[in-house]
Amino acid sequence: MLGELTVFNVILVTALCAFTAFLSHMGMAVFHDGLRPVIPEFIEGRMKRSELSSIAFGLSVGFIASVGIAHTLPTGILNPWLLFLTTDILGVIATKKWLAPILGGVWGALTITSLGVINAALTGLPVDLIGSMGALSDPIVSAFALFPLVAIFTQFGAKKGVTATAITLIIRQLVASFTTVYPESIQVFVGVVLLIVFAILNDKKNSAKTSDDEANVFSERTARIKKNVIWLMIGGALIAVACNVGVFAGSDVSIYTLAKAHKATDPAVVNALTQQASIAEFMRGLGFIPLIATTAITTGVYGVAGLTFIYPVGYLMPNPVFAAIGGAIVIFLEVSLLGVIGKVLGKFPSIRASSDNIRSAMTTVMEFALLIGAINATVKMGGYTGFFIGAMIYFINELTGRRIMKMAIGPVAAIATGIILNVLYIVGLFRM
Amino acid sequence: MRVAIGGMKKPEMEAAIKRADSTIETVITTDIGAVPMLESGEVDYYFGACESGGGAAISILIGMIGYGKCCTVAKNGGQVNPEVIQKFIKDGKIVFGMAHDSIEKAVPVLVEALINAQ
Repeated sequence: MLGELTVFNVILVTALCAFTAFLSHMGMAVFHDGLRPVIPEFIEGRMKRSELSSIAFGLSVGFIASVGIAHTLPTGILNPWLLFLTTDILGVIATKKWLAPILGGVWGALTITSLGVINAALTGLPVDLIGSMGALSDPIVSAFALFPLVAIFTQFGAKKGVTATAITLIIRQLVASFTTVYPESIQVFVGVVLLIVFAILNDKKNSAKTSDDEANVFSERTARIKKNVIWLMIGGALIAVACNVGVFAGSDVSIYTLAKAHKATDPAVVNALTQQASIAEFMRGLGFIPLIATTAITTGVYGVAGLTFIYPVGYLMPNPVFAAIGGAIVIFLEVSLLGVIGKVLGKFPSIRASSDNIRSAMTTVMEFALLIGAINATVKMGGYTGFFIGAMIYFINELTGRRIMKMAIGPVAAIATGIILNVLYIVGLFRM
Repeated sequence: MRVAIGGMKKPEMEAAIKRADSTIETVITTDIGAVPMLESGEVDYYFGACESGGGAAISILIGMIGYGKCCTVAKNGGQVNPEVIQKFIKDGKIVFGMAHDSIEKAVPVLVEALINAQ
């Protein structure tokens, strides 16, 4: 069984968090894209450590508390918001080089052990909370496969959007009717191809202008990242191993599918789900290249997980040793190619625009999927009593200034509903 | 007033700005695309959204325009504080990041503060 609380997993997560805190302390890599450009302000002496610490804390604390916890509680799998946003902060706060890995390690050990305790507590409840979380993840694969279409609507308007939707639906149904291939995989592929075709056609019409200034900025600080490549490769290897043993997932687009894969017993189903998760994570990685690469090249500070391709590599590798080797190689390739990526991005501004739209589209479809999945889960747990509680939690959040972000409110509402239903059951006000 | 828009949810951002004041000229671009516009004075301000309000929305601009001119007006899960925004404008900030969840809340406050400061 994957993802269990074994001695190996505790040591792995402790080592991983110790190491990422060290990377953050040294200014080699941070996870938060917004912290990256602030690091040089500190390194080059324009900012004090205390100021940097408060920025790091302010940027991330909301994320750790909402998204970080929301995706891990229903799945039992750790995520980068929970681990790496915290180690970003701890690494920055640590005043001494040796203190950073200690603080990071303590956080890693704390999260993985308390996760086991919380999971055991939730599993033992009379109203089945954890079992209903499968319903939360059901719509995710299908909804994620719609992101290219949503992106096409945003970037190229309704006419092309409707055309792309019709083409994708027809191809999807041909695949679903006459083959055994998962229609969602084809759907994403067709959608992304259409998105690229429209972008090229658009670029040809308004021939893109290039700026030499930008190219210069891009090539300036890449050297600093290349100098740190060994350290970054070790980080990549550790993350890939954590993905491989099932204790960690890279993002919301894969974590729920992986949680299902962990529960499945048929090896064919496990393989199929793992592949689905890997494809989704890979596509997400493509969407994030321009953002992570440009922030890295302009700041000299890399991402803790690089361009995030180490996640799918970790999921797919047959064992932890291969995962470690694969993770290290992927980071090495990414860093080697950074200069080239920077030049390409400088030449084609439309790629950067597509990236903004793709990331927006992914967020839109994931918010939709998690909300619908969460409502399904509340109904599964407690019929329309569950719906009443879950829906009201959603509305209360919407109407009081949306303190919990949209991406997190679904899972948070589902878990809170489960707890409230259990309380009602215990006092005799709810019967299954 | 001319505003460049980058980051996530650009159509929503543009609609929110136009709702706040329909006379504001908006340019939909990217963070990198906005740098030369801000430098040449082609636009007065930059609004960008991302998940947290301080990440992808303004990170490139922090790197290329300078940290001193950038700020986050609405963090995710945080509230919009008009006094803080007024202080940002007084301090010479021209790049405004916000969480994409907060566009509807933050833009009217920000636009009003910018108009009052003119």
